[in-house]
Amino acid sequence: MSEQIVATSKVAGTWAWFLQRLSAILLVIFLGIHLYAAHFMGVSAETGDEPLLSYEEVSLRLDQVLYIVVDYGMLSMVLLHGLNGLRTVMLDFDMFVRRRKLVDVGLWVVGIATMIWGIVILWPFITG
Amino acid sequence: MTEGEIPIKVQRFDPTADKLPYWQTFNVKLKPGMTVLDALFEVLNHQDGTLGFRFCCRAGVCGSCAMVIGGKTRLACETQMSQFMGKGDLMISPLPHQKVVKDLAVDYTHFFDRIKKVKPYLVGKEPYPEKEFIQLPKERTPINEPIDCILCGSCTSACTMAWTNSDYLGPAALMKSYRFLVDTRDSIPEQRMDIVESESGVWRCHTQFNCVEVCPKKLNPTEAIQRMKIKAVKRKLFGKRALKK
Amino acid sequence: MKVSSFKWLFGRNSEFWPTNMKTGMWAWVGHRLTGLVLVAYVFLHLAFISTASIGEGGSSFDALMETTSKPLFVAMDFLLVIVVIYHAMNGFRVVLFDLGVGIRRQKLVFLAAMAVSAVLIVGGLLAIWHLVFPNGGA
Repeated sequence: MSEQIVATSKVAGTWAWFLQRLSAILLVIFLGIHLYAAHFMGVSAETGDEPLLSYEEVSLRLDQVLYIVVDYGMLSMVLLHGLNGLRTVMLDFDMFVRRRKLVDVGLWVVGIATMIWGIVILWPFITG
Repeated sequence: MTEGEIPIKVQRFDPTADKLPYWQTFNVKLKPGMTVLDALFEVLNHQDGTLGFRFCCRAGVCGSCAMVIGGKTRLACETQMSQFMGKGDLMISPLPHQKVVKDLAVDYTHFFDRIKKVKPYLVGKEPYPEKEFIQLPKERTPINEPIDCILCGSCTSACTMAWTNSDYLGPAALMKSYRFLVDTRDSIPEQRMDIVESESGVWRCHTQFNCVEVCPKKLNPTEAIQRMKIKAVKRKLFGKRALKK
Repeated sequence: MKVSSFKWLFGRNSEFWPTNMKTGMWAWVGHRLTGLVLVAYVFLHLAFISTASIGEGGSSFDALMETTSKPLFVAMDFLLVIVVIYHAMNGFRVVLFDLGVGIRRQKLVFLAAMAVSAVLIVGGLLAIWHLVFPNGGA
């Protein structure tokens, strides 16, 4: 028998796959709300002559808990789906299969760091 | 080339002598009912005795002569030459992305290693019956198709994930595993699921359907893999009873 | 005759591509490429908004919105709509297969998914057009 590169996990694969599908469906819903709220709602959309998003408008919208949940929920789902997808791409190649633990830890670090970054980015809109 | 002849271009490669594969053209006179394997024999017997290719049963049962014929993976013994008449050079090369032993014969070691990993044999339920395990016709239905696999290696050689991840079991091994997983006589579904559920098992399948396209027996490994994915998720969500047959 | 690298890549008996590159394979190639593009986009999106949000006030956000409505960015948005909708619709097709639906008719399912994406893409492009030129174009 040829050597097996690595003793593979029996747990991560199933959940990674399942969460990928779950987050995909949630993302489509979040994306719809995100785009509609950002571009077709609010004062400027009604008057019709100022198509740009303004700072006041976004921060007005983000005073509502619903939109905070939508935006942060969307970010977390995007990161889950995107980085999990990257993991899938990487694990298709021998060089990353050999370093699967490193890939997993690296993607978690990137994901959590980006989530914190995203929370910081939206903070002025929520408080302001 | 004279009338009634088909030019066949064979990819030649001898790993002990050549650095790169090269193409060599032979002209073969078409006979009624001639298959590609017959044409290769014609070349071997009358034109070039060093041509290497693998064959056994000549009837599409053993799965030894799978190769790329005219840009499509087929069994040489089941492909009629007459369809290539007047269509220019007929290109014949070994299965893609496999180690070539000589010319058209590829190394199946890795392929069969992958098959062996999924325990490709029936582990019967104890106590064993005196004569045979009794199966109802409807219990037999799910394995009607996967049992037809002849292990020719076409599917695994066409799967891009099997190229780049040498740990991936590949469509042939996974369908073999499915064949025993849904068999009512088998007693180790848990162990089988543990094997196919690993990262190098079913989760490397991204439904490219390359295996379905190339299968000379018109089987559907993708469907088998998808069913096992559903089983795996059900087992994680609902526990062992999801595997009940 | 040696096998040239061009033939190895693109020839009829190419070693590089699967010998039968058909519907499902093309769909997967597109899905993977659009997926990678979208991951890059998410980080770009965050980076853009962070320039207007971290440390500075509202005026810089409005300035950023002014910048992003320039023709170059609108053209990028057009591409983004196509990429997102392709990825979503092909993803929907994959989810159907995961539920065990239509595996034997994958080509038909792909055509249906692409028909739906075509409609959605046209709708999306019209919506962007309407947003950029609220007074009916020109």
